[in-house]
Amino acid sequence: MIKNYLKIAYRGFLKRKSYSFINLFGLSTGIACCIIILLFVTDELSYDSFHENSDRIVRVQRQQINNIGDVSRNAAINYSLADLTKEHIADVEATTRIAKREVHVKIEDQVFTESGFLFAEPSFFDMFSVKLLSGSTEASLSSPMSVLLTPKMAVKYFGEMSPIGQTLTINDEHLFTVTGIVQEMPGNSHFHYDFIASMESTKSMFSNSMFEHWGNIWVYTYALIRDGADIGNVQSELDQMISEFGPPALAQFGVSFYLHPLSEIYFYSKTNSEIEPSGNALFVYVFLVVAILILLIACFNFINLSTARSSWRAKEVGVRKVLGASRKSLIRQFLSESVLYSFVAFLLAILFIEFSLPTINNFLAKDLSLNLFNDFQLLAGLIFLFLFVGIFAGSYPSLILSAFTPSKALKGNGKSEGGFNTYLRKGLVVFQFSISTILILGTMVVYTQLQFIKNKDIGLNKDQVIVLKLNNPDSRSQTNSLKQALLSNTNILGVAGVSDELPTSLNSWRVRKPGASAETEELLKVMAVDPNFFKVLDIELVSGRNFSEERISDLNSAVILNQTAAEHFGFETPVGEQLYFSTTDRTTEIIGISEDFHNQSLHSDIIPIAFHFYPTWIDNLYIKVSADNLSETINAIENEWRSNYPGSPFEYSFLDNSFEQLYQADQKLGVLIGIFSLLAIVIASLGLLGLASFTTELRFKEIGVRKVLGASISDILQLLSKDYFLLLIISMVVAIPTAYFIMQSWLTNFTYRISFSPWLFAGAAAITILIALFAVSTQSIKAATMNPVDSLKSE
Amino acid sequence: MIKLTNIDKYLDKKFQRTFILKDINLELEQGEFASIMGPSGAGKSTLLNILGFLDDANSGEYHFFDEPVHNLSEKQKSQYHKSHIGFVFQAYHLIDELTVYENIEMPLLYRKVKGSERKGMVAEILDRFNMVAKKDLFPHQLSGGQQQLVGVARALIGSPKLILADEPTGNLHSDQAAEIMELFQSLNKEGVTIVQVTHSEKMASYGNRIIKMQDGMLLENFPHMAD
Repeated sequence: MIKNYLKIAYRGFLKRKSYSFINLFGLSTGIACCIIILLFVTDELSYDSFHENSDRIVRVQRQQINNIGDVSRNAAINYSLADLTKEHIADVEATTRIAKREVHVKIEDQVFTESGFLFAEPSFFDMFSVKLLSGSTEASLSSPMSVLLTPKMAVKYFGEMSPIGQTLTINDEHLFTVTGIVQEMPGNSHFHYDFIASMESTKSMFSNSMFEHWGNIWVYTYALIRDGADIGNVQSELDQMISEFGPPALAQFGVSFYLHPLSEIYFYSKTNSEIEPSGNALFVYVFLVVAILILLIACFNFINLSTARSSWRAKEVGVRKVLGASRKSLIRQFLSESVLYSFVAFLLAILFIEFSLPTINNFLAKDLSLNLFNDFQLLAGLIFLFLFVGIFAGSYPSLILSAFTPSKALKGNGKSEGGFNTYLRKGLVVFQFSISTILILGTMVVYTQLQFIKNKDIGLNKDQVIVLKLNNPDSRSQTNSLKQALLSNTNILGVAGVSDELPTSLNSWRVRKPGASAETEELLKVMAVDPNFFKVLDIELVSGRNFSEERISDLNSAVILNQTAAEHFGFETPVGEQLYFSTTDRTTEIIGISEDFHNQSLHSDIIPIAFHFYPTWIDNLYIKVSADNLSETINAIENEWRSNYPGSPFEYSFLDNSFEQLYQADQKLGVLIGIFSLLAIVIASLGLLGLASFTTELRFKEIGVRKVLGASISDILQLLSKDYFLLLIISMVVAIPTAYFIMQSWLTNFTYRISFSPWLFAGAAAITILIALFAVSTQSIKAATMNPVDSLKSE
Repeated sequence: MIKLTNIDKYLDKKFQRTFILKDINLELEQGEFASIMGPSGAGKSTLLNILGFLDDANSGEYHFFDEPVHNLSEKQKSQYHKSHIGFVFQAYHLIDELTVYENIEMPLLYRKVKGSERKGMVAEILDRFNMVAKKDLFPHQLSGGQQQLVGVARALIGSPKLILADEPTGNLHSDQAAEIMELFQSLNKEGVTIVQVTHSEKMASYGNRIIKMQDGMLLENFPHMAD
C-alpha cells in the first residue's frame, strides 16, 4: 500500500512540476535556515558543557560596590584566594588558576605576537576535560619555565620536527622549554589557548606583589565543588573564610567574592575582565524565534498550496472511498505524502547546508558542522524536525481531503470547498506576510541605527588616526625619539601618546575633594595622555589650558576633566579647584575642561574622565596622518619603528576601524536578519505565486468570458490582484505596530538611537507589497493576455 | 437484498425545502439487472448514490442484506465498499497517475490482499478483458471504451455482490456501449446484481427491470423481462 502511495505521490510530483517545485523549494529553504540556526543556537548553548565535571565547576569572581552604589564585577581575582579556598573549604575538591597574556615568541630570529599564551597549574587537567597528547600530566605544568603547545603551534614553530625539549624565548628574556603537546580547546569554550605555560613560571617573571597583594587581580580561579554539595553553602563558607583570612581593607572597599557557575560564564558573566568576548543570549533567542517563524512560513506554504489544490485530488479521494478506503487510510496516505515531501526537502536542505556551511562559519567565526552520523542527538533532533514538518504541514490538508464525500468529490467541479478553507488560507497568507514585513522592518531599523552610530559625532575625530602599540614598555625612553622621527614626515600631522587603546573601558582611581572625608571617596575613570592628545583627536578644551611639556608640575599635580566629570563634581568654576586621588596619593589641580567624547560604544553613556599627564603610562601612539599616500606613510612609520625597536613586532590599527568593531555583533545580527527576512519573503511570495496560479486556473473560464464581453487587460489584472492586495494591506496593519514595539525595545540597548521615521515603515510596506504583487502578477498577466478562445473551449 | 422504505432526500434553503427524493420505496432482489431511467434532475444519480452508501438519505430506512445502512458507521460502510459493492462511473474515474494494472489492483490493496494473490487476480481479470497488452498504459493513453473496461474491471476485481453503474455508457459510442452492456449481462448471469442509471431505452433493454423516476419519485417500478 505504501508503495502505491509513493507511486501516486511521485507521479503527481512530476505532473505538477511548478507546483511541486514551489512546495519543495519553500520547504527545503525553510528547513535549511532552521537547521543552520539550530546548529548555531546549540553551539551557543553548549558552551563549556563538554567538560566532564562542568556542572560542578564554578569560577570565583570579584565584586566591588563603591560608595555611590556602582557595582563592578571582575572575572579575574587575586592570586592567593585559590590556595585559601582549597585549604579552608571542605566542599571544594580542587581549584585551578589560569592567566592569559599576549606575548612575543621568538624562535631563531623570528618574532611572533601570540595572544593565546595561557599560564596554568597542573590541576588544570583535573578541572577541564582537555587531553595531553604527549608529555606527562604531572611533569608538564609543575616545573617552572615549561610550556605545552597545541598541535597547530607545534607545526607553526617546529614544523615536522618534534617540539619536545625545544626552547622558545618569550618577551625577549624568558626561556621556556616545550614539555608536551596539548589538545586544543573546543570552539565552544569561554577561553582558548595556543600555549599553556606552567603557572610556576610567573614567579620568576612577575614581582612578589602580584602574588601577595589582594588588589592585584589577574588570575581566573576555578573551583570544583564536591558532588552533592550545596553551592549556597559553599558561598557562605567562602564569605566566612574571607572575613577570617582576607585583609580587612576588602570590606572597606566593598569587595566581595562570589561563585559563578561555569555553564553560565559565556552568556551571563558580565564582568569587566572576561577572558574572551561573551555571548549574547538575546541574539540566540532572536535567532531561535526567527528559525521557528521561517519554518512556519514554509509549512504554511505547504498547507495553503495543498488545500488550494485539493480539487486536483478530489476525484482520487472519491474513487478511493468508493473502492473501500476508510478515512483513516486516506489520512495516512496524505500524511505519508507530506512526510515524503518533508524528507526530500530535508535531503535538499542538508545538501544546501553542506555547501553553505563554510561561508557561514567564516562569517560567524564559528566551527559549526553537520555531523549526522557522529552526533546521535543531532540526528534524532533532525528526524524529529522532519517528522514534525511532514505531519504538521500535512495534517490540515489531509483532514480536509479525506473528509470529501465521494458523491461530491466525484462530481469534481473543484469549487465546492467550504468557506473555512478560504478563510484559513487567507489567514495563513496574512500571517506569512506579517512575519516577512516584521523581518524586513527589523532589518531596516537595524541598518539605519548602525548607519546612525557609524556617522554619529562621538566627540573626537577618529578618521585617519593610526594607533601604534608600544608593546615594549621597558624601552619607553625611545618613545620621544620615535615621536620626533615620525613628526619629520610631512604626511604625519600629529603624534599623541595615550595610555589606552580606544574604545575601551578605562582604569578607575579613587578620588575625593581635598579636605572631604574618606567616606566621600569615589571611583573616577582615568586616562594618561600627553599634551598632543586633544589636538590629534580634535577634542576642544572648553576652558582652562592644556598640559605643557615645559611645566614639570603638570606631570604630577595637574588634571584635565571632561565636561561630564566637571559637572559631576559640581564646582562652580572647576578650573583652579583641586582633587585628591587616594590611589596615587596626590592632590592635583584642575587645569582645564575638555569636551566630552565617547570612550566606548554608543550602547553606553558618556562617563566622567580625568586626564593625567603621565609619560610612563603611555602605551600607544595615536598618529594622525593625511589621507594621501596612506600606504607610504604606514611604510615610513614601520621603518621608523624597526630602527627604534628592532625585534619588536610592528602592530597598528586604525582608530575608526576599532570603533566600528564595537558594533560588529550588531552588524552581524543585522546582516543575518537581513538574509533571513529576504528568505522569508521569497518563501512567502513563492507560496503566493502558487496560490495565484491556482486561483487563476480556477477562474480561467471566467476570465475568458469577461474578455469576450470587453474587459481590458488592466481590468483583468485588477480583478485578479484585488483580493491579494487586501490581504497584504491587512498584513501591514498587523506587522507595523508589532515591528514598532519589537524594534523599540531593541533600540533601548543604545543610549543614542534613531527615532522611527514613517518613511521607514512606508518603505518596508512598499517593498513587501511590491514583491508579493510581482509574484501574483506573473500569473495574472499570463491569464489576462491569453486568447479567450482557449479558455472557452476548454470545457 | 436491498430494501428502501420511505426514503427522503432534500435540501433546506431558508424557508423552503426542495426534495430531491421523496418517499422512495424500493426492493431489489439478488440477481436482478435493474435500470433506473428518467429525465435530468429526476434524482436517479442521488438514488444510486444512496444505494451505494455514497450519500445519506435525510429520512427513511435502508436495509442492505437486512443490515440497517442508516445506522452504519463510516468504517462499516467502507467495509461494505471493499467487499460487497462495485462502482462504474460515466466519467470512468480512473486515477490518472496510475497505470491500468495499478488502477485495477487498487481495491485489492484496501482489502489487504497479499502480493502474490493480488498479482494472480489482476492477471486473471486483465486476461478476461483482453487488456494484458495495455496493462502498463496510463488512462489518458486509452480510448473511452477501453477506460470504461478498466473501470468495470476495477469494480469487478473485488467480486462484489452488487454493481452500481451511473450512466456507464454515457460517454461511449454505440459499439463500445454495446460491449460494456454485454459484459454486464454476462456478469449478471454469473449472479452479480446490477443497478444502472441510463437515459437510453436500448441500454435499459439489456437489463431485466426498469425503474422510472420523475421529480424525485418512483413513477413506475416493475420487473420487466427483456427477452
